[in-house]
Amino acid sequence: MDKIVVGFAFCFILIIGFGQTTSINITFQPSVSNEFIELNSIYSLTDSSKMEIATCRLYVSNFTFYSNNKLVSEQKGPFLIDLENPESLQLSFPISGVDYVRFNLGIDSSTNVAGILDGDLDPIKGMYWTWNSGYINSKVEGTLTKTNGVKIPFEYHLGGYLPPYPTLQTLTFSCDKTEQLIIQLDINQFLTTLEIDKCSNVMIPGPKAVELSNLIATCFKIH
Amino acid sequence: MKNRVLFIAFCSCALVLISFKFKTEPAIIEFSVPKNWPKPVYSFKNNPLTEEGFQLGRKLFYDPILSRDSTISCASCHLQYTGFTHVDHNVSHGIDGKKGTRNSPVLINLAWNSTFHWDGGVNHLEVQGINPIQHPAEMDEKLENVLNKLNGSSTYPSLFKAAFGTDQITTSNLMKALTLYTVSLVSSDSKYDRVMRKEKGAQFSEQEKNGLKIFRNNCAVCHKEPLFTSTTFASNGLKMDSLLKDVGRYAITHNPADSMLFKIPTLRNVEITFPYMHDGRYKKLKDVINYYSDGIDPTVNYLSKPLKPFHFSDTEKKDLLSFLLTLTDKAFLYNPRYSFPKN
Repeated sequence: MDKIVVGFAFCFILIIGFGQTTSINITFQPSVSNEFIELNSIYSLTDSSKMEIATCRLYVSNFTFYSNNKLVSEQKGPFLIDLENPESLQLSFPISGVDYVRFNLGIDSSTNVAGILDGDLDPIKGMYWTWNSGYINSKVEGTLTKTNGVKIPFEYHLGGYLPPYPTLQTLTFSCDKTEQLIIQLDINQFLTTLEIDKCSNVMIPGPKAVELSNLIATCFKIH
Repeated sequence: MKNRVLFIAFCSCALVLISFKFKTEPAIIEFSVPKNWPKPVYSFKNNPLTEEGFQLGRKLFYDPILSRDSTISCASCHLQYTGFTHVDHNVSHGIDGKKGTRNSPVLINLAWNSTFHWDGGVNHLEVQGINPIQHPAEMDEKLENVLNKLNGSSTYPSLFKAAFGTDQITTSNLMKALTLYTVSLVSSDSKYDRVMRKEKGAQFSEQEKNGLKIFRNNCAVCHKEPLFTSTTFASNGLKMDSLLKDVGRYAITHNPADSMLFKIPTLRNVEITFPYMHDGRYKKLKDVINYYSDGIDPTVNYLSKPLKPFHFSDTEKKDLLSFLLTLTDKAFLYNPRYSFPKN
């Protein structure tokens, strides 16, 4: 009888042990306010204009995970988050008990000068400027229809690593040891803050790219 | 007898194995740095120089398959016999006869450059080649299409396999192959080089000697020996072309101090790389010397210091010209290793 109890206990511990999550899933979710968005669907913004997104792509890189104020894990990436490819939105890292995570929005300068690269960094992914070598850190394209019916196509290609206009951003989020972290990118906040009438496209590094990179960094928040 | 047969069989097996080994791993070639030259900027660490890689890059360089309609190759605007530039064209014409906005740069001693293009916008040799492939006035082709064409060809997959160990052609191994060819275009065997190396029978004429002196006193700050470029940026005060409206490096950095600055070109093989300047506005070398002598407007606010009109005498101009002609490197211009691959 004792043997059976011990056996059961052993199995129980084994199941619990295997069942325990040892990873943190971080999902990046472009959204309008709290609503997750899909490509080529129409959403209302808080200023009553309508918006449709055709492209939303970002690089996230250099993840560092902290537990009890100590660095416990690093995952360099980079990862290309692309709304067109739903699997790319979720990243899984083999670590648990994370208090907070820090990562870059964009590609760091050493990677920008490293020559030709593979995978998510292949220039074929459309996130690379060839005439002014460097990665586009985030790309948001679509159309905004104002309340008076005027349509404004917008294209924001934000990047540039050279001083005095570096656009790399660092973001930090509290995790409270969660296993599922959903970070939303509030496109509503981005588009309603940036004054689209004055600037509907940015395609080069420079002061405007820095300004909008600073802005887009403030539009990421925990869902 | 039996032992001998076994021995021969063993040896042939070993030979076959060795040859297999050589087949799968291409042998590394040493990139030779000319004596007393600086260390190259290009690092072969992630792209070792191999014969297979070089030959593949060479084939690609001469193959119009890289362009949208298979009419333009890299060599269309970068011809070996003219120092890998497009002579007689102030700006080059690419696909459908479309014209670009800048004079095609020479491809000489690229291994010592950290930036490319007249405005230095390209920061690494490996990513340079994507520009002409995608440019609407050059080859006007998408990278995806180039890769599809190469992957579907009957020859390229096996050549990539031999060079990079995979027959999957990607942006990365395509650009690396092109790099292995262009980085190997080293010109270091002109009369100037032979004199500097104190080779037997190599010596300057009196006129060339005087020319070298004038060169070192006036031109060498920017056109630094032995590369004949400091590889940095400067303005020689040329006024902006009213049609091309080229602001030079400012377009890349947005720094007002970089307005009208262009990359300092090498003067190696300058005799045959006409026309001159970023927009090819001067047809003859003597026009260029005349510009530096008396054509510079010293009041131009973007003129780089300490440049000012040199006011050369007629004799000084002739001496300087005769020195510049010693930079022509026929061994480079006619090196069969760099020419159109016949096989």
